[in-house]
Amino acid sequence: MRLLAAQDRLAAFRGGFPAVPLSARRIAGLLDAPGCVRRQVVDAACVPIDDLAALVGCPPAGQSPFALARARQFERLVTDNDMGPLLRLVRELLGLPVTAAREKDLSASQVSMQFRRSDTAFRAELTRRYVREMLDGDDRAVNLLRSPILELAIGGVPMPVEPDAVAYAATGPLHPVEIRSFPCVDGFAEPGQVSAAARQTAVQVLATRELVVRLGHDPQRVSTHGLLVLPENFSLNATGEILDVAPQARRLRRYLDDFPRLDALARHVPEGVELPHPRQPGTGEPSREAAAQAADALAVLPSRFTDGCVGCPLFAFCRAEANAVGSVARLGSLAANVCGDVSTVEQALALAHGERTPVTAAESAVAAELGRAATALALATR
Amino acid sequence: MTDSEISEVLARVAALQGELQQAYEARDAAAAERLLAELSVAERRRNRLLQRAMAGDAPRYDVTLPVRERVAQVLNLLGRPAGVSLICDVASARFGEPLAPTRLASLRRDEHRSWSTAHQPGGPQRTAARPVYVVPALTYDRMAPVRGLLALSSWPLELRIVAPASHRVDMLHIIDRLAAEAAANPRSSWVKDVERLLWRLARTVPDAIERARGLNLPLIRKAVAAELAQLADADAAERQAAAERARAQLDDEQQLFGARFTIARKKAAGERA
Repeated sequence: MRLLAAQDRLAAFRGGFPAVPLSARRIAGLLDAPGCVRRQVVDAACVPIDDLAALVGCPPAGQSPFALARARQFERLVTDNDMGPLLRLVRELLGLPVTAAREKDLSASQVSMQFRRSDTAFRAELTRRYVREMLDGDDRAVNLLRSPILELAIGGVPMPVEPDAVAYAATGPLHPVEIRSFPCVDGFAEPGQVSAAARQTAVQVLATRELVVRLGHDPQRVSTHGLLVLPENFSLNATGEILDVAPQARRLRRYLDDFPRLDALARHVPEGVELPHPRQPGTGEPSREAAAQAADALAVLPSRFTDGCVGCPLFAFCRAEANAVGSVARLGSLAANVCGDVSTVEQALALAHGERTPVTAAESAVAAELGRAATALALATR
Repeated sequence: MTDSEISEVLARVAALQGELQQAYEARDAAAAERLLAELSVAERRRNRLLQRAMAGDAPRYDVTLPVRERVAQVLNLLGRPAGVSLICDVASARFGEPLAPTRLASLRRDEHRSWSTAHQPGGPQRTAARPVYVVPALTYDRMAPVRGLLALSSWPLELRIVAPASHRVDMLHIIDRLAAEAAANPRSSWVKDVERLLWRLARTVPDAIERARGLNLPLIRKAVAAELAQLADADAAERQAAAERARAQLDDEQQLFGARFTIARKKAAGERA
C-alpha cells in the first residue's frame, strides 16, 4: 500500500474526529504500550484520544482543573516578563554566562500578535530559523527559545512537538527545558512524576535532534541533560534539577525506529471502518449509536493489554474487553507471559487440571508449568 | 438640599411612626401595611439627605483614576517597557490599588483608536489628542507589537523597541528604579510591599540578595549595575540600529503602535492578480 493511500485510510478511520497534533506526553505514553496496534493506529491517525475514550465510556483521565490552574500559574511565574526565574536556573545549573540573556517567545499568542498567523507549520518554520542561528554560532542567536515547535517523525510522518523552552549558550550544546508543577520538597520530587517528565524531555531531545540533523549538524549538539523546573517546597518559587534523559532517549529512539510504518498500520484498518462524529449536530451530546460505532471500530483493531496500559486513556475499554473474553492478560503481564499462546483463563485452567490435552509444543510446555503450579498449590493448601 | 427639607422629612418619619403605632393598637392590618411602605420610602429619603448633609465638602463618589492613567503612572515610575503582570504587581505594591490584568486587555486597542481619532487628517480633533498614550513595545526586527509588553508614547523609540536581550536589560533597570524608590522613601506606608516585590525580582540577579542578611537595597543596586554592565551596551546598540531603521521606514502611527506586515506571499498574490 502506498504511503498516501495509507494516510487516506487513516484519515478515513478518524471519521468525524478532528486531527490533533500529538503532545510530548502522548508520545512518551507510547512507551508504556509497546506493540499495541490499537494505540498505534489511534495515534498515527491523530485522533484526540481523550475525546474518543470519553465516547466509549472510559472515565475521564485528565488532571483536575485546580491542578491545571496551578500548573499554568507556575509556568506564568517562571516565564513572565523577562523569564527571570528561568534565567537564574539556567545560569546556575546549565552554566550559561550572564551575557547569554537573549530571549524569544514563540508561543501561539505571541506569534499571532506579531505575524498575524500562528499555525503550527509557521511556528515550526520560525523555530527552524532560530535554531539554525544557534547552531551556526551567530552572535545574534537567542539563548532561551520559549514554546518552539519541533517535529518528530512517527511511522514516517512528522508530528509537531512543543517543548516548554530550549536553552542554549554559545559554543555549548542545546538543552531542553521542562517546566512542571509538582513540588520538589527538600530537594526530592516524586519519582513517578520525575520519570514521566524525563520521558517527555526525551521526546523533546529526539525532536530537537531531528531538526539539528535536518539543518546539517551533528545530533550530539543536543544534550540529553535537560533542565527540569519545579516549584520549591510548598511555594511557587522555582527550583531546578538537571535530568539526564539519555536512557529514556535511547529507549524512545529504539521504539520509534520499530514503530510500524504508516502503510503497515493502515493494513490493520479494514475498508469502511470509521469512527463516528463525536458530537451530535443538534444537541452537542454524544449519542448511543456513536458510542457503539466507536466501540466497534476500536474492537476491530488488535490490542495488546499489558501492565503499562493503566496510563492509557483507553484503559477501561480494553480492560472491559479483556474481562469479557477472559483473557490471561487480566492477570498481569507476568502471568500472561507464562501462559504463552494460551490466551484465555478458561483454557489455562483446563490445561492445568489436565481436563484438556495439549495439542502444540507450546501448549504442552504451558500445561507442564501450570500442572506443577497446581500441584504446588494443592500441597500448600492441603 | 436645605435644612428645611431635612427637618420636614424627620417630622414626616416621626408622624408616620405615630400613625403606625395607632394602627397596630387598632389591629388594622391593611393600614399598617400601607404605613410601613410609606415609612420605608420616607426613611430612605431621610438617610440620603442626612448622609449628604453630614459628608460636607468630601467628594460624593470614590475617585479612582481610569485604568490608562494608572498604567501610565506605573510606567512612569518604571521607566522601561513592562509586562502586564509586572504592571499589576507594581500598581498594588507601590500605589496600593490592585489592577486586574483582565482590565488591561482592551487598553492597547482603545489607545490606538483614540490616537487615530485625534490624528485624523483634516479633522478638528487635534485638541483631543492626549499628551501621552499607552503603546505596545515593538520587536526590533519587524517593528511588530509585542504581546503583553507596554510602554509610553513619550519615550524615545530606542526604549520602546525591544531586542532579544532587552527583556532582561529592562527588568534590571526596573529593579533598580524600584530599589531607588524604596530607598528614597524609607518611612512610607508602601515601602514594605515594594520590598516584597523587590525580593522576588532581585532573586534572579546574581549576588543581589544575601539570604541570611535580608533585603539590602544598596546591595541590590550594586548587583544590578554589575549585570547591566555586561549586557547594556550590546543591547543599546541593537536598539539604536533598529530605531534608526524604524524612523526611516515607518510613519508616525506605525512608530507608536507597530507595523503589522503580513507575510509576503508573492506567488499567491501574483496568481490572484
